[in-house]
Amino acid sequence: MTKKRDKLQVIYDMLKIIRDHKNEIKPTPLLRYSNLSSQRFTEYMNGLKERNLVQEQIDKKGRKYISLTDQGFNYLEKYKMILGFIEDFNL
Amino acid sequence: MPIMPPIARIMPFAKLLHWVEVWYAIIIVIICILIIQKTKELYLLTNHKGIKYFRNTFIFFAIAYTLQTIFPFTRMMFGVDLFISRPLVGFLLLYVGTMAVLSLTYSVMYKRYKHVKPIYLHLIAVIIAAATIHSRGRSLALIIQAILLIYTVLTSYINNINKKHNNIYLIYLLLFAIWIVNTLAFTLPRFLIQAKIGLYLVAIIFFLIILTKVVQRTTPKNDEKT
Repeated sequence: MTKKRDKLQVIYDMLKIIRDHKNEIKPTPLLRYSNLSSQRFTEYMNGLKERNLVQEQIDKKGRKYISLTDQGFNYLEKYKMILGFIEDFNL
Repeated sequence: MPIMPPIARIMPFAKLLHWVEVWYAIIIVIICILIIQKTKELYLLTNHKGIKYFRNTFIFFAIAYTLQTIFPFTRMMFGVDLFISRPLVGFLLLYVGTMAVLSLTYSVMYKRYKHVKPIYLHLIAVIIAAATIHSRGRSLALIIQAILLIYTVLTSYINNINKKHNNIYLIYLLLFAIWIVNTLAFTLPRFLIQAKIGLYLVAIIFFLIILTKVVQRTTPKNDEKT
């Protein structure tokens, strides 16, 4: 498996974890479930936010939560199609 | 019936050929735009380098066909000659055509050459275009483009040799075939209009096959939803 494929897989896993937690998860449990180092986790989180796949929300008590955007749900829905396209066109 | 000089016999064909070329370019540009549009979402979701360069190939194809047609079209339709400088137009066409081929090649081998920045591809294309113009022929660019396309087909074939569905290299083979057909059509004398039309039709069919493949792979199937 290529590194890029791994990257797509990691993003898929992170988004799926968020979705499976009723689309609301704190950064620390997400880091734990994602099985990434904190440095890589930060890199991925920045990437996800830049591409508008996730958003951060702060509740009344000042706690930070991460949830999926519509784009994030779209990624999960189209993940297999994305992989199929990359494989089919040898990209 | 008076005997017409050769140019008079060719003239009506020349006008017809202009129109054929305009319509051919319009169809190819539309197909390219559809491919770019169909892959837009995948690229926005993933930011995948391979998808980016695959799309760039068709962006440059669309620009090349537009450039190739816009000058004769404006002259024919409005009597406006946009030819500022023939070498400049030739340079632009060679640069855009080479960028299309380079983007395609890089889309299948970027994993091996990750350090290559996009600007390098532009620089290579500029150097090839300038050197070709300087050599006063098209051979240099054609040879380099042919080598790059053969390399892309072979890379794609070798990368998938052990895979179950090892037929993706056919898509790249089709693109190579399109390139050959276009080169032939470009080099054929203008009075061989039927041969040219035949080649244009073949190129359109090849482009349509690629578009169909892209549409198939970008249309979600029920079992692909997670």
